[in-house]
Amino acid sequence: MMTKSKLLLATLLASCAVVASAQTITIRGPGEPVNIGAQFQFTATLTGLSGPVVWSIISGGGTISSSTGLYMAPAAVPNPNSVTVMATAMGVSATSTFLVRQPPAYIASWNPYSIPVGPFSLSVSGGNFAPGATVQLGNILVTTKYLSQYYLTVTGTIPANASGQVPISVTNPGLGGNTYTSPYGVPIGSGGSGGGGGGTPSITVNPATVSIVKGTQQTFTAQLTNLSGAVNWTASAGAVTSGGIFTAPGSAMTVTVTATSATNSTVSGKATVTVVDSFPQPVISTLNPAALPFGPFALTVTGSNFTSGAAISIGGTAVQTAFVNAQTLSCTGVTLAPQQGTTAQVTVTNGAPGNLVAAPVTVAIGAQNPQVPAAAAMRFLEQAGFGPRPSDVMQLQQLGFQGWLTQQFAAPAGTLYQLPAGGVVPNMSAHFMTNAVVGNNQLRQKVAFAISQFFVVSLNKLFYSSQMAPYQEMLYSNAFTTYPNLLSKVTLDPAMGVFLDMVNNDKANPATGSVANENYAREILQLFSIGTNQLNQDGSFVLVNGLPVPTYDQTTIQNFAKTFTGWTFGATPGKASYFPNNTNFLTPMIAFDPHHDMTAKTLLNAVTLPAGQSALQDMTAALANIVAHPNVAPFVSKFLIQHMVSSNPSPAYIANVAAVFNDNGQGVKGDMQAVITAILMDPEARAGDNGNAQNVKFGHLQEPALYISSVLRAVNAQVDDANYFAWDLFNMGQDLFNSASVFNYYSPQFHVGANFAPEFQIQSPWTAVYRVNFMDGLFGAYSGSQATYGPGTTVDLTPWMSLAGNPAALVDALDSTFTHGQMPALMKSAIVTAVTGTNQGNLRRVQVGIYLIVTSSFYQVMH
Amino acid sequence: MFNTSRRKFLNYSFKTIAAAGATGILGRLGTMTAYAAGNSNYKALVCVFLYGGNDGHNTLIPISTPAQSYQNYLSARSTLALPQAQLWPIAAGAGNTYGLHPKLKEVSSLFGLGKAAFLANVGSLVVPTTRAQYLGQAVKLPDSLFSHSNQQNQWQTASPHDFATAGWGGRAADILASINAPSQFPMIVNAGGGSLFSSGAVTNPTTVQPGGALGLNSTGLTSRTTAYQQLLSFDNGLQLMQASNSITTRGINDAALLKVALTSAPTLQTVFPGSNLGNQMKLVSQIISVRAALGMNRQIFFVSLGGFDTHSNQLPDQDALLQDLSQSLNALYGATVELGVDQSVTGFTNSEFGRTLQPSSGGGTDHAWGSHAMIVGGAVQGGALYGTYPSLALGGPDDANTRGTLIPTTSVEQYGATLAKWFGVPPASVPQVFPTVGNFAVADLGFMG
Repeated sequence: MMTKSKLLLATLLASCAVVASAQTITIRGPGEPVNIGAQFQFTATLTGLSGPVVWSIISGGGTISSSTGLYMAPAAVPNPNSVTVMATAMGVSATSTFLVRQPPAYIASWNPYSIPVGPFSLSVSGGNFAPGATVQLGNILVTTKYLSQYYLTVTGTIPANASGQVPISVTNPGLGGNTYTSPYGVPIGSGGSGGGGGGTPSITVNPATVSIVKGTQQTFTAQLTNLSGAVNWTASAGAVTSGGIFTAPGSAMTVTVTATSATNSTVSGKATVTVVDSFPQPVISTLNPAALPFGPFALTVTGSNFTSGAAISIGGTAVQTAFVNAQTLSCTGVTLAPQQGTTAQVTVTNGAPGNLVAAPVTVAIGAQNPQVPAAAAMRFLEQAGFGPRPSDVMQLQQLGFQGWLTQQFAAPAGTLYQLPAGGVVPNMSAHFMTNAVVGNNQLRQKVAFAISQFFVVSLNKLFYSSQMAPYQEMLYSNAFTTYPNLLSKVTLDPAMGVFLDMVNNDKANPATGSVANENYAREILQLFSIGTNQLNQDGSFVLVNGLPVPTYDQTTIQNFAKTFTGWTFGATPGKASYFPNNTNFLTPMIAFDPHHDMTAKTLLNAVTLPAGQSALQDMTAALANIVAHPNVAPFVSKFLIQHMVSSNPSPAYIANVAAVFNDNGQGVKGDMQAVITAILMDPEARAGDNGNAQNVKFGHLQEPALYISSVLRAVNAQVDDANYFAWDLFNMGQDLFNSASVFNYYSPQFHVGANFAPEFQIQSPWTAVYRVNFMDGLFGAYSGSQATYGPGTTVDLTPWMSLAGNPAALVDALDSTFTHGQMPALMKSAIVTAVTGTNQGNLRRVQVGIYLIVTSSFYQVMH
Repeated sequence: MFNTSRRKFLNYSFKTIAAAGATGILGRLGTMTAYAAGNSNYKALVCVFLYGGNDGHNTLIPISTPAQSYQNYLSARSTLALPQAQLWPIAAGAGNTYGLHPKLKEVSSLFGLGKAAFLANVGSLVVPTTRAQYLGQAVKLPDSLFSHSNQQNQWQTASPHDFATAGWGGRAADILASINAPSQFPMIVNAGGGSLFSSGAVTNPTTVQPGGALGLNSTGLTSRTTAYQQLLSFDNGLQLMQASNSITTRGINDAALLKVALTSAPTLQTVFPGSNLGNQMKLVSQIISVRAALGMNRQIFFVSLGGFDTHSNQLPDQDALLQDLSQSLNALYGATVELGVDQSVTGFTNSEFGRTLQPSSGGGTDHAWGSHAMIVGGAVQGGALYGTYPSLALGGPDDANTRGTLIPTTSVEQYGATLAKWFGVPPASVPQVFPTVGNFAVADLGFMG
């Protein structure tokens, strides 16, 4: 027994040594800089070698487990900043070199928000603060104390004469330490309020200047800084009560109203009152902008003779107005979907007594002479893009559906992930969301995203963004070409080659017993083209004796596997080309006929490829064989309909689109522009445009990336690559570019009850609650109208806040913002009640209204 | 260089580790008694789904059996064969020595303790099928063989046909639902993502993720909360909207119950691997620890591990996966001992198919059919191999073609029915859960006693 096993082992080792053609060790490194103090798990792949692998650090610092490859970065960025790790097995080595970085510090907020004159202590919150981090507050001398990576405390003294806002920034110390400057300033001195004593006491009277009619009243308030107690009111003419209610004298003059501290008579504040016989006639000279856009707006009215109580009125409705000076007023608001394409009269009323009104100026609202109503445009943009941004709604209304499609098809593609200086963006997921929310080319992005979930590759096997980005770029730039072109590009793309093992797929080797790899052969048929069962053109199964009919069997798969042999990476420029070549993700794969199986193959529908054909000849014929299969049109059409419009398209809808897929009218099969147009213009897609009841099976749950971007686009949010959404998408089950397998984040076959419901595969009880809580975070976790959701996202709710005094008007505006102005009455009344019952200020009312709409199934299920 | 002493060491180390494991578990007996006071009727199933199709050929390997030896394996497996000296030998009955994958160290210990069993060559079948019947298409065959998605669904639904809409875990829960009354907490908990396995005709699973219950954020604003609840009941007729409302409502209610219950969870001494699967097992164990607070007499858990679709690079990839699996199964068992429910909790593996015995270009294997499963727990009649170990001859009697694509000799229905019977599904109801189990000789394979 012992002897036998010894012999066996010796034989095995000997055979291993003979079999091994090349002895290489490949390290899977981090691909991007490793944060200081962070861990990274290195792995090594051995070819022709056996373990154990011994790990070591050649240069740069940190520690690594020699047996497991678990690397711990040093606590500080090394100088020079380059770490090289080596893996060795049986005397063969490989190295991986990478950078160490400090994670960039950023400031999220500070408390108190404004700082009065005198000594202060400011709590600064944010992230990635390092010990020794310093805060800069304009030119003010401050001391920074490090509390944690999230908190710093800053102390100093605001000089007596300081006022206004100063910039705030934070700098991490040492090599690689960044400086981050907040986009917002810190109000200081007289611009600040509250807080500790010690500063110069002062009193501010509001309003500081005002014009009123003789004999009328004006209420003043006094704001005390570094001071407490009551004030005594006096006036140079007329009368003022102890509560600050001033009654003007009976003739025109200038009056000074003074508030003096009852505890310190040396401190006082003044207001200047211009008493007039009557308010003058206000005059409007210009409006800026001259026309109001769809949705949120800010309007500045310029003219003359405006009084401090002047109110702007639009279309007969007075709006909350800010008095800047006698020549300038401003207001914010929201125009509603039904108002688009109309005009309104803008006037200014100077207030009682007299109520003199400026001669009205006509303002256009939204796109004039629109081709389609705003509600229809919004629905269309939900299907054709990442949700309606108000400016896009207006553009679509002007161009009409066809005009907009033509414009989108013709617009230059540009690039998505490539940096001008070379390389790709560091965080593809964050950049994806930036593009979705603020980028143009909405239709191209939407279609590219849909087909990226059809022709799936995933970082779980590719690992590096630099390998993923060119593939996504390829789908994006080819999204408006043809299906046959896409299938060919995808098949020969090295990222797909690696993901489904077609790269370096070799013909059968009798010496090792290995045969052609079946991975790509199976999935191109099952997932990328025809599916497992024969289809009618309306997407239903062909049934024989009541049973579905398979499209292929295992023998077909093995024949396709042989067809797809002989391809390797494109040669590295300037290097000789071999089978297998070194990895190269920038050019299509290339063929080596000596590694191609040249036997005859039988493909779909009994089409036979003769023996002796080259790899390229076989490839061309095999792709043509697939494209010719009648399943392709209904299979691909239904998938695209499900992604863009509805999970359960009717057979007629599928058949309409499939017919266009089969022939665009000029004999071309798979014309993507024609197919996309057919999908979006189908009567079933457009049936909800007028707000009428829809087929009970209509609509689809917004996938997480669409859900987040739709909400942000509706409120005109600004987003950059510092956004946090990749993490939220991961938690919602859509870890971008990193689906668990070639079966995507979710399957087009997934059911809920009797309905197809693809996106519901990642809508678990847990993720459903996460989505709701995410919106609570986006619309509830901050207290300023212009708010952020972490760095990289800014939402300004000011235009809706001006409506918050009237809950019904606010909810009407939010209905127009998010639900096309088509919100059911029952839903609207529940939300109006909730807004009315919210007594924590205007911002909170807006937040509550938005939260209730965007977390509702009415919104989440796009319909 | 390995030598005879290495062989001896392997043999002895097997026993040594088994003994150490026992000591470690016994050492924790003192702490577990405090939590053993729950109901004595409790039972739980933990389905461990290995997504991608685990290669059974390198999981359980013949070393010396009357029918074949390691040499049979070596010649067919070629470049992907694992060296015999690295295997963990297990004795499965007189004269039958098998070897476990080198990374199944903990499972080999559990097997030695009698707490783990293997089920050989199980897979999707309509009726018992021979090679001749398969090649001649003389019997009905499962739909869409060798396809990941279809075979995953067939394993999870215990149906050899596509388009089944309920899983067997869900159907078992449908039948046993009243046993947990009046608790409102779902019988089935998905800790490893959504699965068809967990959905019955009326049973809806809940979903948890490491970190515990995810409750609805509240702002203390009664007006908002009231309206939110109203909107959840809002129905404008669109069916997908109702589905969305239903799932969200369940998520909120389930989390509220779980959150309260978990406040009484003991701190587990068992060490779980830091992997995703280890975290799932830890969460399952924590939920088991509060079974009384949740009012549970029966529970079914679904956990999963992906990455088994090893078309290339199989040897290192499967190493990492099986190590994670072995450590995680061991931790689950350890936690059940710690909680005093080791006789009540049974873990078992599923995977959509096995892989070809013959390697493919790229150092991997392709989709195949039958494979070997593991069952772990105190109630398992362990230390034994169930089912029939197949012939490893390419083109041999158990091969569906010429690549070592095993035609299963035991069906998924038989496997599930054995577990469901132990779980408490009455024998008369077994055909309701497993409609085609009657096509096979026995509905109880015996590994649960």
